[in-house]
Amino acid sequence: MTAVIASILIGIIAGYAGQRSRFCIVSGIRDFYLFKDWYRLKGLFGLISGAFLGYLLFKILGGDIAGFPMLAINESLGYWVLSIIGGIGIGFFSILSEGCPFRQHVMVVEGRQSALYYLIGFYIGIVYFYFVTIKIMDLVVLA
Amino acid sequence: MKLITGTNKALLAGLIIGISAALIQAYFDVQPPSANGFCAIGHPRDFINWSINHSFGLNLATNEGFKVYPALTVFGVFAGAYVAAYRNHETHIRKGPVPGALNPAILGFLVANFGLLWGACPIRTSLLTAYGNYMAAIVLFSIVTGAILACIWVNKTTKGAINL
Repeated sequence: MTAVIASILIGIIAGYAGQRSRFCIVSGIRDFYLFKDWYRLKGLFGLISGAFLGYLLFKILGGDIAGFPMLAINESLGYWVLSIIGGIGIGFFSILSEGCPFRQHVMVVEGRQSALYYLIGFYIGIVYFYFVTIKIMDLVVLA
Repeated sequence: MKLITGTNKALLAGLIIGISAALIQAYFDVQPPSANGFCAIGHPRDFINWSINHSFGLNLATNEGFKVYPALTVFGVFAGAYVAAYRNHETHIRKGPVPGALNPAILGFLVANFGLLWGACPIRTSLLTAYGNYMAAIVLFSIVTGAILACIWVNKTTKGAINL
């Protein structure tokens, strides 16, 4: 039950901070690439450094930060390839939709209509993935 | 003071989200997997799959931390963002930024499917990178690559009009 409460709390914190700052990682990459604007990209550096310092601090304080730092990864070649394809797809289509999934969740409560349509497609996509894509993926990886 | 009011708001937001994600992993049982404090793809997936599993008796994948109770992160994001937007009079229904209804829906569908291939959104990919997971660092690099490819493509289709 604590995980549920924690998930709501971090959602509120991230939602509030994200709305006030227009925090979005892929938009940060776009702004820097097209306009040499660092503003949003700083959010990525803040996120990585804040998380690193947090994991380090809470591990020292005795928190449950299991396996940190996670330096050994044992994954199959198929998973590596699919993950890299997935990463490229997230970056590419998030630029075309003007924001990452987090930013779309923020934009929908600001009243952006396209973010609402995006989220409808996004949640249908999640269901589709588990009923269709994952089965195709298994066939491809196992072949 | 400039840190919270000036051009460093996004930096501060990143720091807050990163530290909060580490905090809830350390003390609030959101793992396994590691670095699962916040994810805008994984947590919605956990919520949707938890709902389907409990409604239809199926066994779709959810993270261990959210098997018994659902991840309600997105509802928190909606609440937090709404309070912030309402306080600053930024809640008006308006079109865009992507034109039409079908285009953004298709893009959302594609992002969900590509995102679930890897299993995390850009924020959690960054959290995993901070955790020392070099695979996440490589995927973060592929997200950057995908974003730059899209910028180049958009720039070409608009005949460079977007390039200042």
